[in-house]
Amino acid sequence: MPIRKVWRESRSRFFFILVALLLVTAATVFYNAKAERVVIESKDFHAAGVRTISGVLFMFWSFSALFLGLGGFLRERAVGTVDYTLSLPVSRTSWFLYRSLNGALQSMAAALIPALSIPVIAALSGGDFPVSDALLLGLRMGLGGMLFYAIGLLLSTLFAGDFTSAGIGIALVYAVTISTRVIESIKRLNLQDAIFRPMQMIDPHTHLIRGPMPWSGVALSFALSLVLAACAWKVTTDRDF
Amino acid sequence: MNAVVETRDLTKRFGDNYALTGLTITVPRGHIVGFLGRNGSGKTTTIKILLDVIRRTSGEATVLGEPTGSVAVRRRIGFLGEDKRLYSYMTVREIIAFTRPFFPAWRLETETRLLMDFELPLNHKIGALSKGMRTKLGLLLNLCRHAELLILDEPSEGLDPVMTEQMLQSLVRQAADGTTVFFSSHQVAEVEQIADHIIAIEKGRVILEGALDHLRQRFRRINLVFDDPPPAEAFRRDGVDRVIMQGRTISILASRNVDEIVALGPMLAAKSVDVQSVGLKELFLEKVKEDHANS
Repeated sequence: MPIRKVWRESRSRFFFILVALLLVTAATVFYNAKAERVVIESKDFHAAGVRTISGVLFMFWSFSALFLGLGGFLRERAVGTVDYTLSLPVSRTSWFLYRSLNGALQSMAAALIPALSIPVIAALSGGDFPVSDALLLGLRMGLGGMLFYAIGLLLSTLFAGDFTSAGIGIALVYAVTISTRVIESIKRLNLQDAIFRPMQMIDPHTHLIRGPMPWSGVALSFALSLVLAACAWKVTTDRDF
Repeated sequence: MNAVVETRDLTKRFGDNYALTGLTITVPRGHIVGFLGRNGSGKTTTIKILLDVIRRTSGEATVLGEPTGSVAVRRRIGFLGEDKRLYSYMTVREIIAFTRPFFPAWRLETETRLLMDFELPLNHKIGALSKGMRTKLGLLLNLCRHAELLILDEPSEGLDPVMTEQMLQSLVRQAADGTTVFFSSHQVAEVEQIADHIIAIEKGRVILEGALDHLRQRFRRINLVFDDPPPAEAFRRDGVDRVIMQGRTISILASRNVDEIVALGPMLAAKSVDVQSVGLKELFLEKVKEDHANS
């Protein structure tokens, strides 16, 4: 029953984001492929696909995941429905779990579906991109980047306005990304460099996955996401609405 | 008295401001209880604490014998908020289908009847409904639950007189069906129209509480006219709640010892003594003034 509400109130945003990411992915894959003249020559979308997922798709998806974390009781208080929601026989913890799981699954889908669209785009263009590579790269982005979703989730429990939360979230992600690039002592903490940029597992000639994925970094990032989600849960159960 | 809501020394602080300052109330089962108070007196804060939307700073509060926040209790209560906001993205049909499974005692025949009575457009988005229609929908969502306790926060706020009357009559019918109705209002007339028990608060504490009939019988306005400046001090005694002097007239609000106070008039050479019953509005206003005078 609560899932009906959390899905109903988030589905428009999810579908909008999904369509936008699919369009961005398709445009970028073709742009990269054209730049490499592969559409004309080899019909090989490997490099274009890998570059798209690790670059433009990752950037757009990370902000999208942050947006998918927004909502919740503070937002409901702003629009005046929180009293009705909290008067229903569902605990705050249950509402939080339904909302956070719904949002996490949407974030995951928003990572996987555009990534998996690349093999389809390649096939429709008469080219090739392995489904297994798209799946692994999508999983790496969805699981390792869940941190962005968790940031949105936590901020939504602290600030009522979606624009406020989104603005603070984007500024925070930008500040952390830049500072972990510039400051030598914290360079290891750069999420993009640690998880999404390394190309060691990508064969430089075929652009296919040949080595192990950075699963330990992904797991660490995912664990950090759970910590932020736990903080969001604590705030949700304790505060006034 | 079998109570459905009880609070004891309930306080709620927002920053440096206290919204409730030791509120102790009892809502008796099977009654229509009017929760009267001025804007900002603490009515909504109290209701939100009972629903566990906000948390108390100190004190105790129980609903249907359980501490506030009990999920099981929420299956047995209904709630209609002041602005009647519901999920704007759902249609009327969707919110009914969404709400129904939460309440095991949901009455389908009541749902069917109210859908016809209220002429609710099933396929319209809630965001497109007027406040009156949202109120009807909110009432439907609550009346179908067959709840033991119905809590309403300023239910007539923003409604036209016809809709207000429809809403009040729905509450009376629900109470006749065994539901305790606890509704807040700053409209004395509507409280007086349907409530049989009153709880009035000011600045977060009770200033008047009891059965409406009992309060009407208990309080009397005694007006005494004198030829000379009246001896006001002589009337400041047990049972006198308030003494007002206007020229050569003394107006006394008494809650006890009315006969004794009336007998004092001729003894002090009053030219005339007039005893009147006191309406709820007058009583409430007097209690608010008394509270201000005391604080």
